[in-house]
Amino acid sequence: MKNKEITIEMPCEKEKISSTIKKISEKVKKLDCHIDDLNFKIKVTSKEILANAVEHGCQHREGKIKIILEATTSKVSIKVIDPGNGFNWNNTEFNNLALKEKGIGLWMINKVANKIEFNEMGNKITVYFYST
Amino acid sequence: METIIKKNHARIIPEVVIDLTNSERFRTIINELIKKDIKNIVFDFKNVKEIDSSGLGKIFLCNKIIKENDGQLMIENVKSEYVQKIFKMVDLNKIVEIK
Repeated sequence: MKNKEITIEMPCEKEKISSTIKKISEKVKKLDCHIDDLNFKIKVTSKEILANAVEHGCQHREGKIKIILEATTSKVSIKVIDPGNGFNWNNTEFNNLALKEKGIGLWMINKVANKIEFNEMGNKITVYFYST
Repeated sequence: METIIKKNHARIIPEVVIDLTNSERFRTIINELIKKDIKNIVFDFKNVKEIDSSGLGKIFLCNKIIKENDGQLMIENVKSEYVQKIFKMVDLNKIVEIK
């Protein structure tokens, strides 16, 4: 049940999302966790939260996005902190999939994750995965 | 992204990853094809290994534009397990024909 914490930083550039997800996936593969389909769940989540961080939290391109992975054998969390002013997640739909161009990302995270937490400012999101 | 046109049919072959960096191209291409009266469109996913919500959003949008113009969208050659799982998650086969 030992806690493991990994921190990764990403520049505020959408072109860096893909290589950062690869880094996250490599770290997740090495974790000793008993969570079904964890790599898929983390990949889906990372793609969406990093895209969201770049789109809404990177008003200044020189800023950095911080990603913190925390893991035990039965629980993994991924936390993303962007340097922006926060986004209003209250207006976002989590439970119904709107077949529209926008607003699908958080629905997808909610589908694969066990819990999603936001800070009040809206620039920090933590997504949790538990073993069943 | 490659586009092959034969009479009033078009086959669009996207790249390996469809995400925020390239998904906007779908909208541009579909609008160009509709202007040319090409309304039977296939997205050939033979090269696609990953897709995110911006890519899914563009599929929903393209499907809407094509249907509004009395055309048909079909998705073929979905080989990646990741993409298959994402399509299943959103029940895409209920909206778009997947072959």
